[in-house]
Amino acid sequence: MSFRILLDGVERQVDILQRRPHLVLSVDGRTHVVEDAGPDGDGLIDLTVAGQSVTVARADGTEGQSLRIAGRTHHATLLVEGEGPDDAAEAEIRAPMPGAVVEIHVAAGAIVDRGAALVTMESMKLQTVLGAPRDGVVAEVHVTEGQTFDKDQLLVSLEAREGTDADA
Amino acid sequence: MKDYPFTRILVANRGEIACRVIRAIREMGLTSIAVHHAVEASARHVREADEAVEITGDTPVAAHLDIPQLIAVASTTGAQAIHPGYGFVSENAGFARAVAEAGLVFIGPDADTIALMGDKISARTFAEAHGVPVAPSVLPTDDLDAFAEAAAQIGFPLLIKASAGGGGKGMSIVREASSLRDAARLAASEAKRYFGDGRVYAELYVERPRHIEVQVLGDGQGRVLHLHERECSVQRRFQKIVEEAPSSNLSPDVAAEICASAVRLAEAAKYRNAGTVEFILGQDGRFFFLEMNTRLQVEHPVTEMITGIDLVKAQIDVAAGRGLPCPQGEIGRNGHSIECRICAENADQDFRPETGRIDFLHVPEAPWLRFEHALDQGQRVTADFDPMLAKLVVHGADRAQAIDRAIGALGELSILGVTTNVDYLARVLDNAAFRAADIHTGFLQEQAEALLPPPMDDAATDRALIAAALGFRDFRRMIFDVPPLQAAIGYWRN
Repeated sequence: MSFRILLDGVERQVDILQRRPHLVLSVDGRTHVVEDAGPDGDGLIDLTVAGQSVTVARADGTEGQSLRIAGRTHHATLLVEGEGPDDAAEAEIRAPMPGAVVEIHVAAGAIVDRGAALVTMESMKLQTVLGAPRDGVVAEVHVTEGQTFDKDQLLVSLEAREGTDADA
Repeated sequence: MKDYPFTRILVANRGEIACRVIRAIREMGLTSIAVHHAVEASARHVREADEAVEITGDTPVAAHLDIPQLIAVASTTGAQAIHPGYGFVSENAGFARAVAEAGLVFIGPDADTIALMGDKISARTFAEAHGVPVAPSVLPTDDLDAFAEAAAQIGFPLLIKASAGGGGKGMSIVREASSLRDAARLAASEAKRYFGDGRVYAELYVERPRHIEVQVLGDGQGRVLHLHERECSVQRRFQKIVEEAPSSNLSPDVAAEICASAVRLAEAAKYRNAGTVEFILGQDGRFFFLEMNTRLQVEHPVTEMITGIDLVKAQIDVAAGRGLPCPQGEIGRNGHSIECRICAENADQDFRPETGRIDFLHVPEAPWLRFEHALDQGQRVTADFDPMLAKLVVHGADRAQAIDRAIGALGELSILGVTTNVDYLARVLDNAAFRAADIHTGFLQEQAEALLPPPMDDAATDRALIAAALGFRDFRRMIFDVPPLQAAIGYWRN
């Protein structure tokens, strides 16, 4: 699972690599074990990252999150797909884990809204529906029903819908 | 208090200084009355005062400057005295006069003294007449021969300018006698061309000047104490942001001379109230009178920290006719104190004022620390008032300890949701030239590059990103809300 975060104006990527027994995150490709993720909410929070205790002052405001760590103030916003300084006009829907395609709900050229079902997949006897991360047009469906795939394999690509924000 | 001529004091101010004054009033067993515009009805100074009255105006600031309204509020609330704080009506001779005419006690000097010191020319003339050094100057003239002769007697470097001038036209710095006549001729011709007035003026040019000021306290009968000097050379946009007491790197002889000059000036004026005499100090140890502020100063706490004297209580006592707190000989000078002005501004964007909402506030505490403020978590910081949010004041056994303590306290202080200069102030205090006390009024500009935020290494960046990620609800939900497998997968097929 991948998140894009704008930290002090620079876009970075945080991936959740593992959640149990420890949270393991990758930041721009660098791996960190988070022994203690701290409590929810605002205020003074203690975290443990790579065995080191870190005290953070944190506040989630209307225009993103403010943080203060080691005498330095930061501003962070969570970017949703299709947003951001280098606003990717395209979006790629990749396999979150190895599996097989159960059903394809769209064809190339279909106009989809954010959240619309694109592909139902099966993995380890579990089915899940992959939805559109944002409004767009289906550019290509890269898999067929019944086909197996590996983690991170490209399943569907979207392009910007004309006249939508993603174009701007 | 029984033998006090007044017991109810109107505090004609707001923000941190209103809170500071209200605290002193409460500790003295007197009653405080706050004023506030509608936009600040729930502000801290309103809550901390014994009583509060709303004042109105086209803007919040206009309300606080409305002299007839303030006098009317004092009358209707039964206040017998008014403390003006700093700013707003504190140095308004008309206000002091109106207060006196209403039969109330003004906790400050009389109107004539405010007027005398409020005018640069009359203040300078008064200072010169009483043996307080003023920057040597040549009075405006269009007789270039007489001008050059008089200017050469002052010494160099000299600043020559058109007496009608402005905007740097006809202005030059002359460093040696041989170029004096040419510079004067040029200044005169530019002055004539741009302003239609060929008169030129010269004064001693002080390079890398320091701003030194002396806290005085007068009883209005001619007795004046000094509470030592402060150094306020660290300025941006001609406004102080770091002040200290005593001044750093100043010889005891010069310090004594400066303090004696300030006392001489205040004695001559039969000054009543706390006041500050400001000087410019050259690298050669020569100092010159700048101006006198006839009110409590923003940076007064650093003086309180090293002397142990509460200046607001002293002001109130003097206004009540109870005289000065102690003889000069009993005013000590213990350790070192530094004040940092916390402002809602972006130090990396030319100190542009910032607005926002204080989403989180954490104030450090220590016996050697004073955090003067009127902030509340959730409060909006608007452009209605001055961008100064708070003052962080520390005391240390010496300057090095005071610097370290201030940096530590700034590091612990968290004001989130509005951009402040807190990080910048810590960098200023940690700057090598600042630590070496190699400061002057152009210090921040000179050190601008060294004061930029240092680059973040990967470890610091990753730590910040992980902390940020864990603060986002969507991110946490992905980790904690559901068992790991179901989080990625929709539902069981069988």
